[in-house]
Amino acid sequence: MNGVLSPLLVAASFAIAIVNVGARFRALMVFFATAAVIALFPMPAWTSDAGHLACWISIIACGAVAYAPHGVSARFAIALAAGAGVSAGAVVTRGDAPKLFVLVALVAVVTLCAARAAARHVPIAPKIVASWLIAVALLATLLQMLPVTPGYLPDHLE
Amino acid sequence: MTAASRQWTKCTVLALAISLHSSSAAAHTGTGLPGGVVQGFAHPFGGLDHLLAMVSVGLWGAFLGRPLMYALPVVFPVVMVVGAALAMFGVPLPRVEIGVALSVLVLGLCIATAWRAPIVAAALIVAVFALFHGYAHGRELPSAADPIGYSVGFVFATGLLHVLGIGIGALADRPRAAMFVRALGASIACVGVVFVRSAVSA
Repeated sequence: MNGVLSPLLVAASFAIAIVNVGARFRALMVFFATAAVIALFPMPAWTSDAGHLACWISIIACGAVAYAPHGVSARFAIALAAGAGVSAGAVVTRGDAPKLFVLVALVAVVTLCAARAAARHVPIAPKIVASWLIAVALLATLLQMLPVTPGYLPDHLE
Repeated sequence: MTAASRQWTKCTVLALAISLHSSSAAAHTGTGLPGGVVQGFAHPFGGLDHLLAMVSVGLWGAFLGRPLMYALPVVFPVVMVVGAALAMFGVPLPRVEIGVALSVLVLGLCIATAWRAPIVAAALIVAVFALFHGYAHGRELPSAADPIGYSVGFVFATGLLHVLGIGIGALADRPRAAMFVRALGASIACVGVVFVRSAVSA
């Protein structure tokens, strides 16, 4: 599940980040192209953790961009798209690449449309979702940094 | 006795009846964390303590209006991660269950009394309780079968509960509905009393 989730969340987070960017179509194309190109290259197994970590960092970066008070420039959005594409592509290449790539693209497009629609009525809504994504990415990053898994622990009121 | 005060009395009696029915067993009844998005999403709905605290954050935020209406649901998950991180790295935090139980009581009281707290105070109160909630769940998270999927479901369910609270709180703009929302806050506080009592005696 982890292998599928991280690139999908990158797509969602990136889409939210470019909601108010003028060059969002170009940025989206760069994201797709970069992810597709990277997904073509088979990555050695030892890079798996690095790919996921790159995805979580990318989600945090995209989430932070969603909070930029005056938005970001087209150049910055393109650079962000390239970064997000690289991280998503690096994980996509390890799974069922064609299917996963289509899923990533679909999530990006659907999230962008939904976020634009939501932003018209409740401008803060995409930012709130971005904060949830940041929270998830922070948790995932921390989990990756945990030296050992404590194993079974009872539920907190069990 | 006016109609409004009669309504208030009825709501208070109802709240007391609900609070007498609740017990610590009604809070989380999970048996470990099997993991996955669905399990993570379902978890806050299965635990009355977390559910009521999340809805209360949204409700109180709606009462306080902008910018806190939107800021509190942002502050909560981010600080919750800090609490989870403390738990995952084994940093001790005393009386976590009392902190979680107090969150239900205090947030319920804030709504019941319609306390219009200053921005910093409201954010601080919510942040402190978020730390306890994050700690309680962060302690369990690494033992989940799919911790990433679990945290995705959990965080999104938490966020949706905030939105639900904001939705209910938005009713408070109408005069009669304001009384209903405050009565709801009183009910939450009553349930919080039961949680605090069982957390202290545990």
